Amino acid sequence: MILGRNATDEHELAGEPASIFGASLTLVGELWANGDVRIQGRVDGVVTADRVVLEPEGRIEGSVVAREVHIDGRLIGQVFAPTVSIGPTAAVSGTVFYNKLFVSPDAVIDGRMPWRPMHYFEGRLRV
Amino acid sequence: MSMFIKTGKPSETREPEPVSETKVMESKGGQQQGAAGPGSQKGAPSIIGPRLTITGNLESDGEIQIDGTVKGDIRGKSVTVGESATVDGSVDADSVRVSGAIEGKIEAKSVAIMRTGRVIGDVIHESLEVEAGAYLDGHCRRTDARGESKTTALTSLAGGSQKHGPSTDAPKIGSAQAKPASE
Repeated sequence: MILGRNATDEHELAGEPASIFGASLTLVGELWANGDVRIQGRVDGVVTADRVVLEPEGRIEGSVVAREVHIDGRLIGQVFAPTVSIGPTAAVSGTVFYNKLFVSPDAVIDGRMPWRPMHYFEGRLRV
Repeated sequence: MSMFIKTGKPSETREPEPVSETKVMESKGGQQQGAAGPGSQKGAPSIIGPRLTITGNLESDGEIQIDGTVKGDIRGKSVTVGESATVDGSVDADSVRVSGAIEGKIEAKSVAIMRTGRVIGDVIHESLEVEAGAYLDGHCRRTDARGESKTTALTSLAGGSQKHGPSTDAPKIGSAQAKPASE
């Protein structure tokens, strides 16, 4: 329970399947998800969602704003999320603003990871 | 929770081999169809879910299913615009199936507008299907080979603007689109 979700969120997750941004997709621009999104393709721009999962084959160049972010792929840019977890296949360059953080020992990290208090995120998150 | 802790395979394995797909994607230079035969298109379609909003241009060398909102242009092989979807921009693909709303040009070999579909904009097609009840407001133009109408448009255009340079050779489609903008 790294990410400490509560029961309602679990239910929400079960009821609403995550949107999948598939491996064959490339987006230059902004992506807003009023829910969860799994990114397998490539985004150059901003991703805003409740929860973002960047899959091993996914790549984001830009920024990610979410309540929770899990990174297994390649991220270049900034992350603003109270809860961030970085998996073993991840490669992150840039800045990760977090309140709770998990980093796998195998992850490749190049950049800064400044801690921020919860209220720092409240104004930035829609949800 | 399970979505964040990966123990082996993800529970939801829509794409059979994510890793090999990455390779396909990276080497997509000109042989997109090479490995995957027709029909066995790289796994499941990419889904733009109902709660997703995308601003910007979307490109894919596979199948896209749109159920959310896209403000921008879409290019893909096969594009399906679901009932709950709204697209504000052009769609360029091999085949397009519309059950939702599109405001913009559709250009595809095969276009199908279903009864719940709503299209405001021109449709350039080789084969067009419109179901009874569909809303269609725009010109429909048929082209035999895709892009031919553009080329002819350009040839006449190029003939009228000789001063711009020697462009008597059959120009490519790319330059066809660039030309009018410069005038």
